[in-house]
Amino acid sequence: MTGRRNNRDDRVIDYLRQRGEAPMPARLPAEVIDAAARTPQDNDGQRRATWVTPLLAAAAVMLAVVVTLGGLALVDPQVGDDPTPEPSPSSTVPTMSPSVTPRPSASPDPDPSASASPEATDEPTGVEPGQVLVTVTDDLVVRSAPSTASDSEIYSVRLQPGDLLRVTEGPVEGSGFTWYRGAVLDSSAPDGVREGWVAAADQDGTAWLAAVPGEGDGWRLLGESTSGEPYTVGVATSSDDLPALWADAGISEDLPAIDFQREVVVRYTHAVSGTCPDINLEGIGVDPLDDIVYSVVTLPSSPLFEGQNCTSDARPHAFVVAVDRDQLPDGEVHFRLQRGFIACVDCGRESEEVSVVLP
Amino acid sequence: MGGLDAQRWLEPASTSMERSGGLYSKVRRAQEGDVDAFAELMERHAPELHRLAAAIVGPDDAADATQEALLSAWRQLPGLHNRDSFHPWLRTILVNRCRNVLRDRSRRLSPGVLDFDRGSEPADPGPPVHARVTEQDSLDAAFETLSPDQRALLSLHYTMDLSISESARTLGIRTGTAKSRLSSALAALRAALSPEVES
Repeated sequence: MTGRRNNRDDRVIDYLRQRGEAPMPARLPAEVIDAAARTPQDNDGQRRATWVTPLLAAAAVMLAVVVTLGGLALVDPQVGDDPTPEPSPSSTVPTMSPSVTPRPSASPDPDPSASASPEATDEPTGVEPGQVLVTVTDDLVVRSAPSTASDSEIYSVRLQPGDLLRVTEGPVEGSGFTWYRGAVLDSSAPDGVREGWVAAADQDGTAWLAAVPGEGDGWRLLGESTSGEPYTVGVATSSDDLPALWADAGISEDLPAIDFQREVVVRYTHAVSGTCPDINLEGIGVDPLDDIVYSVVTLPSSPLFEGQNCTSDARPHAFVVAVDRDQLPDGEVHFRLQRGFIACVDCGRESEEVSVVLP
Repeated sequence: MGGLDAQRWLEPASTSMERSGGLYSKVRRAQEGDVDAFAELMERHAPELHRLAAAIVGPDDAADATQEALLSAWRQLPGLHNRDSFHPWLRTILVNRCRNVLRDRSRRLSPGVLDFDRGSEPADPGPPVHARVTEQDSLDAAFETLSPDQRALLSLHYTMDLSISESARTLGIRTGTAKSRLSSALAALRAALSPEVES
């Protein structure tokens, strides 16, 4: 029996090895170079790279951008950033809200014939101007008008999971979608901010934007401080873990009372500029597809919030929250500083995520 | 705190890439918009990426996925703050592009409707269908049922000979998770080998 199984393994592995044996078209490199020569590079990531280099003072303005919209500004190979003519989902990352449920991933391209997800999420309701919505899909487009008509220009920016929209107007119905006008970070815009219309959900009601629920909706803020190590996350699943987490956060108050049967405690320590120290914890997001639990923060001083230029000194700001266990995915959960995908390998960002297998 | 962050993000003064053929400087030049430098990098890495794409999404979509991944890399290159990680970074972009291709593909196929449109049916039905199914067909069909992550994992580990931990890092998942997903994916492929085929 064992020999028979090994034989099967060998044949499976042989099959896998030969799957890659397809000749690369000779035209491919030339076509990529032609396209690259016509394609501007995205300088958002450069902002972060220069910000961390002390010799380059130009990074000062960028800090707020990086911290405010981590998913947009970090160095993330996104699941796709090709121009797509319509709002287009490929994964849903609901924030913690009873009205938001997980669904399987979908396509990056609009496809009216595609079947609806059996567990479609709800689009946000009751959204007011000034409210912040979080993107819960890939490659969501921003338009000049609330419709998909040809006179509604598609801007080059693409919203990725975790990217924020500060709502200024809406909702407005158009072309079968519900639209919100708002501001998003866009490196191609003159001042780094693009104002445009974004569809809140597909025509089946699957959310592309989600409201960020406030405290009390599955989580509560236990404390915050301006000390600790930036870009780190800590998790306490029992009373034994809590003192160390509390100390890492640098909070001087007494330890809070936690029912660890019902909650876990998470520390999210962000970095903010010393000249633009304001940071708001908007909510705690849960991505049930990838089992990621992440913080959603905004900086009132960032360009998105019509703020000022910020210096490049990074100061910590820790938030410690208690999250209801029944809001968390089963099994191994990845508590991540922000939703943006950690793409680089061995680049020092591993501390932005802590994985815990919850009993 | 500035020192802390500088230490955290500052790139090493000398790297293995610098010592081996100037790749580090090519990445830096490409980050500054030098298309020629990017072309040199692409020449080195494109064949491997295409091989990986072919393994994950199949030969028909491999060229498009590779092309799109490379162009995406060009756009995002200025943000790569650790030039030593260029190669795995590129690989991650490619895998993400392949995930998109697979998601797109699955969305376009209605549930329960398989894509058997591979040529016209013969006038004579010939021998029973099961007798014409080859081992390759069985494995192809089983591979098509795997999740994008399972396909990527199998391809990274077995086609590209990456370690499990390196494959896991490419996908942004834990090594333990990668092991269990690999195991279930292999089991699915093994099950596709019928006793008749095996004998």
